[in-house]
Amino acid sequence: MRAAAPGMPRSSIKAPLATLTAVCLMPLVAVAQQWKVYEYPDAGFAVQFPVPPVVAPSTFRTSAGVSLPMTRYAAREDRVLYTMSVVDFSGVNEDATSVIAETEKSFGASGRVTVAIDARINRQFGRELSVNGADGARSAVAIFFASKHLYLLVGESLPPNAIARSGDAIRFQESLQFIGPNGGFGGFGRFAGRGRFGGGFNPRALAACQGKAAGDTVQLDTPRGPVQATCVLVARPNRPPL
Amino acid sequence: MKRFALARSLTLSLVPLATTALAHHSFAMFDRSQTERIAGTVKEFELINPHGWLRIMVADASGAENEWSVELGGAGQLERFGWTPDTVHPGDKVIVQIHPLRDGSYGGQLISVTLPSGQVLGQRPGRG
Repeated sequence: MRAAAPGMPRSSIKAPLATLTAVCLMPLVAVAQQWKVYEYPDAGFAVQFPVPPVVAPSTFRTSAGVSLPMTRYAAREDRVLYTMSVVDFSGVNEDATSVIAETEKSFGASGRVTVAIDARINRQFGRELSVNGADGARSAVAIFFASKHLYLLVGESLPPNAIARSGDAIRFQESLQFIGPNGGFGGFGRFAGRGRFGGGFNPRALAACQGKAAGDTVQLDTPRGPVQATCVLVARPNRPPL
Repeated sequence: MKRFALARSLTLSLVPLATTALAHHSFAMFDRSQTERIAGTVKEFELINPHGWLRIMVADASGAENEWSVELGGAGQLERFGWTPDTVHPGDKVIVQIHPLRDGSYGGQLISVTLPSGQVLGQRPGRG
């Protein structure tokens, strides 16, 4: 277990480049954890939260002092803060590499970056970090830039004993998907973007089983000709009482 | 001549295919050069897309239990290797082999799981 580092008071959310002016219109609500996918097609992403997130407009200030519109999707459950911030860079002339690099640099200024690695989600390339805050918090961070928007995901496990919930922060990070025009191949099939097969997932496979029962045989048309296929149901197990 | 003239059964799911999960993201946060073997008690098992999750309670050296989050493949992928929603249940004692997280967080990417029956299930051919 990592020892908590002494030092500065912890801020609830790590500021990426400069000051995040959060306008929280609703309080964060903590209920029993039940991870669900939350899809935001207009924003081009989907992510899992353990509790319903609060979506609020906000402002992001770049290192050059420019204020940009931002939407913040946030939740708190137990001792983990889950935040997805989407910043609209369409009004400024910034390239993806610079924005990602500056964002990553800001995390290094506010904590100790223990892991920094190139990452790919669907057809978008960015960076994933692990950051140890001076206050003992542990954060799983994803930084991506797509369609002139900065996508900044932070799953922050709070002290004391931040490592205890570190798995939840990582799960949040691992759940990020890009959908719609951002999606391309992979991801949630029905939102996997445009293209001949919806970005890698054959929509005819889903359509072929609509109205069918598990075990029904259907014929699926593929580029290589028709094939027989069997429909199955995939069910999430109910959570029995412990 | 059609290459696929012979009838071949495919498994379709009524939810997005897990094959997409194989290309969903790069698993960059897992150290695939390392493996760890941990024993614990199942808290929750989710057979979902794009990734399933196995949450297990693992005792540390002091005896305190910590929750680990183990990432699995998608539902369709797992089903091909013998997983079902009833493969594990809360309370089951299991041993998992994982690629650990690079930062030491409590989690990893599943390689295989040894069930209470002794059966070993994985995510790749040749593992259960």
